[in-house]
Amino acid sequence: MDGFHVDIDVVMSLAKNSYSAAEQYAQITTKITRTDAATPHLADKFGAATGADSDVVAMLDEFYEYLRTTTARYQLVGEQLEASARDYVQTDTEQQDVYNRYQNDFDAYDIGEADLGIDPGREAGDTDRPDGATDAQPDGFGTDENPAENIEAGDGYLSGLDPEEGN
Amino acid sequence: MPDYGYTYEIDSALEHFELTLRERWYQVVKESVFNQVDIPAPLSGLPGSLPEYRTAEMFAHINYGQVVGGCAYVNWIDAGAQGSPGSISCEGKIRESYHYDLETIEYQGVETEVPEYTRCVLGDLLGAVEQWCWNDRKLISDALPPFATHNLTALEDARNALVSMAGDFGATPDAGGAGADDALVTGLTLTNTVDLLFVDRDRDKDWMAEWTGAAADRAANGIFASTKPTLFNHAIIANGLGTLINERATIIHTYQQNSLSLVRSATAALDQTTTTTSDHTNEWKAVQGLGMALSIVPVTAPYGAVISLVGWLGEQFLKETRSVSFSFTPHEVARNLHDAVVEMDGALTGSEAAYTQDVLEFRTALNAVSSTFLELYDISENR
Repeated sequence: MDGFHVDIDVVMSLAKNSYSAAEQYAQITTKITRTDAATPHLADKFGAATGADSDVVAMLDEFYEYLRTTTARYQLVGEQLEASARDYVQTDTEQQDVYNRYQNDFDAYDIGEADLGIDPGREAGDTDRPDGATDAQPDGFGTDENPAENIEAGDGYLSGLDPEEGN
Repeated sequence: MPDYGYTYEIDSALEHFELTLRERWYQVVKESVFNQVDIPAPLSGLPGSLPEYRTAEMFAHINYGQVVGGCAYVNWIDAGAQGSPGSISCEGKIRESYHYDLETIEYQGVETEVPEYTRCVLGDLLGAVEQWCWNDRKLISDALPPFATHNLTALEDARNALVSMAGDFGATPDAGGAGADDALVTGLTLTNTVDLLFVDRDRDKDWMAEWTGAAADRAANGIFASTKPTLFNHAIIANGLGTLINERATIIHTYQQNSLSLVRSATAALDQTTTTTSDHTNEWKAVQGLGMALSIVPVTAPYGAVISLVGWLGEQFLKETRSVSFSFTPHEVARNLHDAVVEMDGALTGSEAAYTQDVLEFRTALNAVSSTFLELYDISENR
């Protein structure tokens, strides 16, 4: 083994599924608008929202933002994988056909082109969380062990299917 | 848009209560004059000055006046008390001039002379009854939790949308909740899609044999490791928020129904014609929080989207039943009702506190979840 192995079929199917996840997330997220009409009725006996009612509404808004960010990140993962694969097959011409087959599918079915209702580049940043929300990340996802810390090329988390080898 | 259906229903119930209360009071006041005894104090209290009815003349008018046609008010009451006593007038006749045997009557052990006519005060008393029945209704109405502007349909739509989202995110209901719900059925394949992407950090995925190296490891351990925990948390958050909306709706609905049922039962108790009171009880429900009984909160490292689904206006919130027994006399029934309403409003305060506690627990749990498991691993910082 020369340290890494890239099967473009795998990379492109991951891209395709990431796009699919983004599209499905966008579709599900629209359902939360059906909660808007409930807001004035989340209220006590006098029709006034209590602190708890207001926090439920705040959490609905927050949830909406998490879903938009998730949608955006799936979309960006798809875009980054697709771009990396495109770069990769410039040098590994044997897999050019595999890449082209996926590209034809993507073009034919508008994969990666769905209207997500958001600008993924704008929504991909962290959602603002309320005071008291944790900053900690799970084991292995924290800044210290951030796998992306090692990346040297700064143009994308997944760009370069193996940066050790450069591209 | 508010739903005015409830406001209409409770107003109608109170109206019926007031009318029935008044009919019973007319009888009580009539009997009090007949028997020359105290009128019991209504819920809202007796007026400061009632016309004096404990007189030989009123006694004679009510008890002996039948021979000359009787008291117009008594006749009106006995005929069913239709309309208002204000439309009736009574000439206060006691006897004809030739009824020499009624020139004196025995009143409270004393032979007392009475005239042919007296000023009949029963009309004034009945007018006072109308007033205090209205005051009683007002006292009860003011003690009821109004819940006048709430639209349960809007809350149900919101809850169903969230349950449907939980279904889309792959939620499966646990055995303790309401079980299967059509709202959970999804037409999407998002869980399958995410399964194709997700890499458990402890186990390699098939695709990792075909794409290896530093970039593949980074993808596997970063973004793709965060996909399934994020998905499951979305299922749990959607269901949790739906459950909290359901809890608020249950509070609204239950205390509306409690109010209607208490007023209607009190009215039924007033309608009774015997003193058998055993079957004139009413049960009402106190809404309780879920507390720790149901886990609705997201967890920091979920590996399953098992949710506790609570049915719409579900029984899980309604574990406590309280009851009230209604007495026979109208002043007691009104007081029973008022006491029950005050107690119910106290229970509502407890339900609000339980709801607040459930919201707080959910908020605390949500805040404890790392952003990586709420919106995926942050790839944007690395651009």
